[in-house]
Amino acid sequence: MDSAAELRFREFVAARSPALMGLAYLLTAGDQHAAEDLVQASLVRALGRWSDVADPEAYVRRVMYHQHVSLWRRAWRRHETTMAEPPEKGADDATRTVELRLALREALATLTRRQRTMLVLRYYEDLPEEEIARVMGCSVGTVRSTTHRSLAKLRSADLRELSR
Amino acid sequence: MNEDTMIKEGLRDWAEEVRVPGDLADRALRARRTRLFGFAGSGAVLVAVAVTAVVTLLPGASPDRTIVAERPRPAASPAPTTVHSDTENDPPVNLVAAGPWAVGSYYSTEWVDTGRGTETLRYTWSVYDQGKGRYVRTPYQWVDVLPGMGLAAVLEGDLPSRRLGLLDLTTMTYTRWYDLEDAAGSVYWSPDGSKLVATTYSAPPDETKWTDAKRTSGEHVPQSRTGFHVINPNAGTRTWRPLPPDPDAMGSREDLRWDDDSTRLWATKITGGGRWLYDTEGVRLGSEEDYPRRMNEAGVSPNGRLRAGPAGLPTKVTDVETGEVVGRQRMLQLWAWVDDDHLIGLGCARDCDNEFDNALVMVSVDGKETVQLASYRDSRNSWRPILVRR
Repeated sequence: MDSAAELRFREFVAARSPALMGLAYLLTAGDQHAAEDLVQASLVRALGRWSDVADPEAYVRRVMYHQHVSLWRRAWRRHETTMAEPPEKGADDATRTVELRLALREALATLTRRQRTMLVLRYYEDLPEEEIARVMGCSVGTVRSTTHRSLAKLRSADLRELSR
Repeated sequence: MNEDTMIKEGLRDWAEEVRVPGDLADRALRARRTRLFGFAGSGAVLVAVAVTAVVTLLPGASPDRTIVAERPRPAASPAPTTVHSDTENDPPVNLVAAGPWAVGSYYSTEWVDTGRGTETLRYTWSVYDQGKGRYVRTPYQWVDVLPGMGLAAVLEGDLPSRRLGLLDLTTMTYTRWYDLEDAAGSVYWSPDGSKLVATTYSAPPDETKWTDAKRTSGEHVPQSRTGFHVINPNAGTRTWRPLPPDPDAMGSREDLRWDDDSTRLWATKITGGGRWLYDTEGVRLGSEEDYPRRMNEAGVSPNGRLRAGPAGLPTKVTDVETGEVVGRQRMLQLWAWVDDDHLIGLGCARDCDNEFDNALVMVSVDGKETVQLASYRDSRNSWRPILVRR
């Protein structure tokens, strides 16, 4: 890698770190260290093909999905997520909003890695189902059914109650 | 709130809580190197095996980083006493060093058309890559190596440049970039390595209008110095102060450099010789007519007893107290003291029939012992070494 390419890489990382870390944070269900590992591993992969990449962000995001899913496929369990207990239920609106957020997070954390990845790709990355299927290595039907089950699982949590 | 919106907003809120480390690029670059080469920082190992010639010297105090050391400072740790030469490669590939000094970088220049009837210099800089254990060519138009040879300040793109970077010389990765609103034509580290001064120009600082094909005489080109940046990378501070050109200056380049105290700045004074001194606000503090540390003059030895003479041939070393000549050397210039008995300088090839055909040489004060450090080359148009404390 020559200096100009490295400079481009550094500029890219400096500019897009917040977005990449945000995505990684969700994929790893709020595990800071696992998110950093995921971003770093994906950037290392991207470095290998840096000179060929026309759209670095799209490429790195795709690598991140794959990295995350492949880690899941290998039943990688190093970074199990621990969630803070939700606070005592309060009465006012501000408390309710906080509760709702925490409940959503807790619910997301209870999903399997695969289910959570699909929801993140669908709701945070706004990817079409066909693209999610390609990334996840499954059919569009599987994407739909998995998403459906994931949402059902979320609904079974306290979300429905809280979001009223 | 419907379910989709709730999930989207919930995810977005959650993602925003992540902490974003500032060193992700460094981590990835380091990890990739580790993956490729099986190790991360191998500089010391490679340097150790890159020695081509070793002569053990008496340990001496390490002078300051500038080529010429008038008042050496006590070394914090024992200064290197080995000599490394590379006389086979032109320009050198392997480390060139003697005692506390090394060729940290070297450069060559060529004249290029500016497109407006003038020419300016284009630089080709090489630096010593600690990781690879050899000199490597760089794409920068200006390089200044920090004493210790671990870091270099570089200017990217044509001069004057708006991009100033700090380059780690072990990993050859950038540790920081500065976008300069006022473009710089040079950058220098302070002797203590804590600050940078970058002189700013409104046009290429080396711009010249030659009036003959051999480029021996030229016309006046408007001076273009505008001011200078002082950057303290550790403190994270950066200032720019205006400093108009010296009306007596001949060319357009009027770089500022740090004085030995790492506090004052100086620029070459054309009329009467010597130098102008400034503070970091750009206020002129006065001048020194007889600047004792001209470029490429070794000055007083580390023990303070001997003074290296001006350019030769031959050169001489005198006793500071008595003025007695204690040794003559068949040298063109004496650049720096290696220890109290040896100097680095320019020695000429053959019978010195052509003073421009010269090489970096280490010579003893009595002139009897010489070690050629690098290959002979035509110093007018070939590479030019910059010494730095290693």
